[in-house]
Amino acid sequence: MVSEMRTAFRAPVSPAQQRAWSGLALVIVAGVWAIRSSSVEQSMFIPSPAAVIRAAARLQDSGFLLDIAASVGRILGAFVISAVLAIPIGVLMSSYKRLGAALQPLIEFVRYVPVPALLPLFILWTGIGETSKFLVLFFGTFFQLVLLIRDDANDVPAEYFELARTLGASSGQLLRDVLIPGLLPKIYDRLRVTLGWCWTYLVIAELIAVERGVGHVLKEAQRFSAADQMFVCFGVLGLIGLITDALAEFGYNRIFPHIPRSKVLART
Amino acid sequence: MIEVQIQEKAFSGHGNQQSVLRDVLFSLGDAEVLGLYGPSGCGKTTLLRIVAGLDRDYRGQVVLDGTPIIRPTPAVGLVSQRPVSYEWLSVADNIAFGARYLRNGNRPLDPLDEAARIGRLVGLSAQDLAKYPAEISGGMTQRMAFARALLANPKVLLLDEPFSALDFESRSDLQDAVIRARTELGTAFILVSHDPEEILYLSSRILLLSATPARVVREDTPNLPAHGRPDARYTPEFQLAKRTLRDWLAQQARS
Repeated sequence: MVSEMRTAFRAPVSPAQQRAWSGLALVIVAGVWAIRSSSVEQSMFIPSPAAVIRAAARLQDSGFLLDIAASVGRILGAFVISAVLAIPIGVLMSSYKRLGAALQPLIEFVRYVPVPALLPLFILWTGIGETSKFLVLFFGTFFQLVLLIRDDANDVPAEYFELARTLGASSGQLLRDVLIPGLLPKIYDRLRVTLGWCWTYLVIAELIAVERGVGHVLKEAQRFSAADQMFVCFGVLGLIGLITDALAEFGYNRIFPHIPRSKVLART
Repeated sequence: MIEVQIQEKAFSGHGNQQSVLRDVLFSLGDAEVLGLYGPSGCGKTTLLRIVAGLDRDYRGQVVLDGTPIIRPTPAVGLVSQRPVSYEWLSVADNIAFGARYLRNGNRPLDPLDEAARIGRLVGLSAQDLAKYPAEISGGMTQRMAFARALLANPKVLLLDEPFSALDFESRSDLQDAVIRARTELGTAFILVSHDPEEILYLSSRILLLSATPARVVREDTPNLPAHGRPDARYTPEFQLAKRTLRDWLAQQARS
């Protein structure tokens, strides 16, 4: 076993092997779940797979798809605005060091304030409507994303710029022809990760005064100790994450054909 | 004609200044190949960066055809030991990269056609040109970098040990490409190399640099039979000159 582990250290796996290992892990988890939930005492806390499917059908009848759509809408709105602002600001902070020096302490400061702690202030400022939800999602991603993009832009090799300068590129051309294309794969990865964070903050945002949303369904399930409905929500959130990730991976291979397959696998 | 007059170049750190180049003065005519030969770490790369306009923190000046070089210019190209590849561009697009910045008179009508022509000159096939840099070998990447520098049609091309990591075949091909560019395009070269054979084979003039702070110790014009022809390397005179250069470098290292 030890020798197998030694030989397996950082050894590549084929897509077929990857699918097989993932499938095996799912089967084990599902098996443990089914066994643990089989006793009556446990079923209140860990509902059986059948009970979860029945709960999903009940939720569907009460418009669960609209809850999912509301959550996805909130995420997309806040995430797109956050990304559209964070990417250029991060790039400019890296390109113009004075701007970077001016903005860094402000952004670092806000980044360290826990977003849930700001929720009462957002409600005070904007009421309990959609704007406070937007602010939670925006604050949860924007400040982190700015600094990540700035760091990634700093990591674009200096040789790329020096070469372009010896070929006659101006500052604007360095930005357009070297920095942005060199940075795009990293930006793509960062967006993928921060989209995941958005889902974390969504549940916090939807705990207060919403009529529709997965977070709202979770809160209602908690009120009635409906573990089966909570499991449905977890399942939906996990599935959305998996689908988003698979779509992102599919897009990555097509948008960045120059990145070798070995590097793409190493990212996952 | 390029004139290099560096009185002093120093690096500062840990509260003191260390002089790297001192009184390095030379000039270079059209279609000339100047070899720079000296101990490791003596400042040859720093010298090339100054000539390329990438380092302005020195005392002195570099003048190209009467105009001081105060920033990088397409008229002075640079190919380094570790070639730069824009990974998101194909080999052909990498070679044609600089064309977009050239003035109308110098810009090729079809940069990709020109990239293919120069690519052939340095031994890149049509299949190589269609690949991405991650898909080609180190030798091919160096050929690509050399072709990209040639496409900008510089008056002076600075070569910083560009062939040292290559296999024999790639090195010979690129050395011959230097000779062709010199004779056909009139490009002047400043070549830094640790390989006395390469320096002797390509250079019309050689500057021997001392250890740090580098000074010009001697200037040689190798008057060798069949200079610039592949068989020149096998003459007794060439072998003797090579041994002399190698011995000189060993002596510098000892002292």
